[in-house]
Amino acid sequence: MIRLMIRTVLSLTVVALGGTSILFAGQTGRQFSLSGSVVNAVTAAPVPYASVALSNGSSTETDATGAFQFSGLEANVYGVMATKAGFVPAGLPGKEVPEDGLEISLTASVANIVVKLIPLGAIRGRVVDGAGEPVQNATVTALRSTVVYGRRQLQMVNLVQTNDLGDYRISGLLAGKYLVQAAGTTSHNAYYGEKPPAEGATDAFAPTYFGGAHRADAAELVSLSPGQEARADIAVELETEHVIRGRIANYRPNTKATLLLSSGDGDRGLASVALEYATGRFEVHGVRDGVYRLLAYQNNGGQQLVFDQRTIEVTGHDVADVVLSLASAASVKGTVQADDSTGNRSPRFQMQLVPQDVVFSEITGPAWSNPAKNGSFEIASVPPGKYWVDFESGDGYYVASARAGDTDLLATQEIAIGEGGRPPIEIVLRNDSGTVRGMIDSPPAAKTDAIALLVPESCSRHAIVGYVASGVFGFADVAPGAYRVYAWRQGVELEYGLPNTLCALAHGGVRVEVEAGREATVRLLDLSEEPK
Amino acid sequence: MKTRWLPILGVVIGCLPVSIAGQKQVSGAGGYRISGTAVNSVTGAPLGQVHIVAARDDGAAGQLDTTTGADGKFAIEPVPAGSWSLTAERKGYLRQVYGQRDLNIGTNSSVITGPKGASENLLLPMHQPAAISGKVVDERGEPVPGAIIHLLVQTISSRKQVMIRKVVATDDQGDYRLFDLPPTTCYLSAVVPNPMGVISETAGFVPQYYSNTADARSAAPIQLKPGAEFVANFALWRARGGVSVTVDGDTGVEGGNGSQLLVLVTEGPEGSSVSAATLGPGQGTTFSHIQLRRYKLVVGDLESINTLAEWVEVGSQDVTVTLPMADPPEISATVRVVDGDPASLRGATLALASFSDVVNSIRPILPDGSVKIAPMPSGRYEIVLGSAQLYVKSVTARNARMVDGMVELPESGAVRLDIVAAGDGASVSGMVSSGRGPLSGALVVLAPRKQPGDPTDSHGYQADSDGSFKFSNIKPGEYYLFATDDWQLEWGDPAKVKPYLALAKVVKADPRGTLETQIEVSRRP
Repeated sequence: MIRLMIRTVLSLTVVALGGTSILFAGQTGRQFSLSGSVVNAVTAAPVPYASVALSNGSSTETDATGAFQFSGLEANVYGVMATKAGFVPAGLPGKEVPEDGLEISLTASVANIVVKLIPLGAIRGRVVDGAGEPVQNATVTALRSTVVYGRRQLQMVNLVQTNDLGDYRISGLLAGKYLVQAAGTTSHNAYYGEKPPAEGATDAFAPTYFGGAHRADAAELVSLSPGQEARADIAVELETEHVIRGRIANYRPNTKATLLLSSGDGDRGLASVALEYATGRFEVHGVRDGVYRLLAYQNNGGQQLVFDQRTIEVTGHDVADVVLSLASAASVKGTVQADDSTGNRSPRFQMQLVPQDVVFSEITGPAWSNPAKNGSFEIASVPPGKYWVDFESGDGYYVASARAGDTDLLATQEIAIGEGGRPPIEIVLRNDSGTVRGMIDSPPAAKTDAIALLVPESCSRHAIVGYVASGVFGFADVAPGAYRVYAWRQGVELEYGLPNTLCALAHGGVRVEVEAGREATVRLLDLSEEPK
Repeated sequence: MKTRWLPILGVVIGCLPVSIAGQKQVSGAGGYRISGTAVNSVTGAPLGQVHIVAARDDGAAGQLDTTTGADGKFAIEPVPAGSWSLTAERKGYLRQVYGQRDLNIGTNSSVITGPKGASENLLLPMHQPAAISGKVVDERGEPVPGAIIHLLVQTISSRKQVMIRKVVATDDQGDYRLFDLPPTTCYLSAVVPNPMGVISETAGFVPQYYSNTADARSAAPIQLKPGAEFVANFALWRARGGVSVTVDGDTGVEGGNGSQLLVLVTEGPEGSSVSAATLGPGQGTTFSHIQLRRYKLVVGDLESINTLAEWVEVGSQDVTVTLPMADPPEISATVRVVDGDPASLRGATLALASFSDVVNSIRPILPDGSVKIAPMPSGRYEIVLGSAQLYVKSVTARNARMVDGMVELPESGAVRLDIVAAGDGASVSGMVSSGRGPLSGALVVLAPRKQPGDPTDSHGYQADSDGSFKFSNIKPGEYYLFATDDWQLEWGDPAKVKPYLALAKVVKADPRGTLETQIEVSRRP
């Protein structure tokens, strides 16, 4: 059975919205049919042999002309979803058109409904060396620079390897702008015995972006429209290959461990690694001269991360006897207190640490605190580095202050975690909060798929994001004070998670004053002007 | 030089060598010379720019190298007396070792330098890599993306076997390409896993074997020539019937569910094991449209290091397999050293091997001699001790039968193996000659007189450059000794060995004894 995910409701000419299955509960016996076609949302061409499923579990396939039909359906509300490889199934995140899927209230047979599928694109090309010879087994990665929760990230979309002709093809891509990076062979093999299985020569070269740049911020972008196939050839300069050998101390035998070799700047630690499974001895192949961070990690018995990292300089020859010693990092501890008279010792609260380091953000992702009843919390094994700090509270509480030693975490929104002593984090919550209710007047088309942002005029605390539904939005648990309100279409790339960008927003928009225990209202005539 | 390979679950490129190669003495120093010519294996044209590396077989430091000139010629000197592996590498050609006839396995001839050595005028025929490409479509001609193509190669190492060499997936246009392939006999299969996270009621694809058959046993061999561009297209069809196999519960594989892999394995060409269906991480737990057969369900991690397996009988009804595997025959072994240094267990490994198996069972032997081997499906397995100093003298098994030196694992119940490994092995060495002098590259076979072709105690050796051979570390006893120019002889098969025995020399290997003898190469009887 194909599970359906229908998010929004699309009004069809056949019925008015608002019907629910309850309305039809008493009507049985009469049977209807539902037919239509599946088309390519860009070219309007019919899509043959697509799967079409209804929310009641029945499914069929379109014929060679893109047509489908269901019959013997009882009166009810049905979700209709089409899927086909190479297209975005409606209703999945990342959709580029508002139709998330169709919902149809069936009270009579319906014909000629049209289900659209968005074609996915592909980037293909060839990786060659300085002499124009194909480079085989190169790792080609498609990356997208996106803003997630107000902070820019370089997200890996997909990675493939070149074949013997140096050719690659990355498919299944949504329309958008991509960075395409070629790097050396990436593999992670485990083995038992004296020597790793012999591998053919691997070509070593600096990670190179389409356009020739070695840094992500200088990379030329590949623009892809829906269903398009773009070409991105990359020329690299081969360098002499060296090998790094060593072993992992404190290694849990016969258990997966991962080694990453990273040279910084969006380099996600790709390498060609062979790990001896019994002893933790390892070899990293295809390494060129340079300064690297070699990182190893493993999950110990629980799900806790044990790791070690080391700076390694490779200059003209192999490096031997590197010893990495796995250990948990120190934890980050703190307390949360409610500054009120209600005696509520444990209001809902979480603190999140988001690694700014690319490698750690992929290994661990964000880490959440889980406060105990007495208000103390601990985030275990936090590797050293810089982290974004986010908070979540509820039940009328907001974060009144957040300090780590001398650092005001509300103002900086980030924390530097060192190797050793870590100052405890002290959080104070208050419940003298207010709420904000807002609406957007016009035009109607802009009222859905928009986000609203509440920016403190003092810019000394995080902005709050709200989602606009039918032109209405709201914010709860807001600290008293003056704010500026904005609304943009979803997908606007605004780094409101950076203090500088946030402060630049503290003067525009529409002003609103929030008072304890009150609901402030704000009215926007239109969507805000999009920042450059 | 002698090397044995065990096939394993081929998810990455599954080849783990278990080296039981004999050690070679390097004596004296002096000015010898290794020379020869690299040529294109097909045209015979000399090849320049070939990087030649001579490495000592005893693992000692002192690697020597050179590059061929435009006339394809090379010479390395001065070279101390000894036994060398000569590796040749060039862009656009496959890396190979002198005397390596089958690039799928590691068997080669060593180059012997010394007063009686033969290290000059060596011929290195270099192979250009072959490639296989093709398109996978369905019965309507629509491309099938995400089909998994398995390349199975046929090798001969004591016996003929077929093992997974490479695995690729078709792209969004249904295209695939396998490259860097050596000349070989091979087979192809196309399996389409269930779509990610979707258990579809619509018909699924029947696994197919080249060319155009659903029965793995009737797959057609492809003879891949050096530099060939072979095209193998698949037209898949969807199953009309078939049952489903559902796997329920935790697999217990280290690394958690995120890294697990479920594979249904069936009998393939020439008695090999091939995948009938595969479920990757996050792809659910049901294999759909399974044909009636007996399957081996293999649960592994993505690095194919940890694997478990059991038999699944698929009849006319859907099957549910509950994990962890019901009462898996856990195998524990103890290796006890007699007539030798217990410290020689250091670095040794133990494996249970069957011809063409997908379960990787190679495990290190701990300092106290204990080994734990992952549960394996019932069947007959050879006990392979990976050690340069020890041989398996005897094995006693609890809850399992020993047949012809092999262990027969039961359906259930824990199995215990008590293995006596001895360090008093004998060595048998000598020279092979034909009417025209020493014969480099001949296959020398040492077969136990009691049971010629016995897999545990039979040995093969590819004669080195001077026609010499040396079996080290063998079980004392009486043996048949013969040499043949048929390098594809399956010397692990009693029936294939039998015709040679009438012409063979009978030798007696004493404990710690060193026997030297000359033999003439036998024509194929």
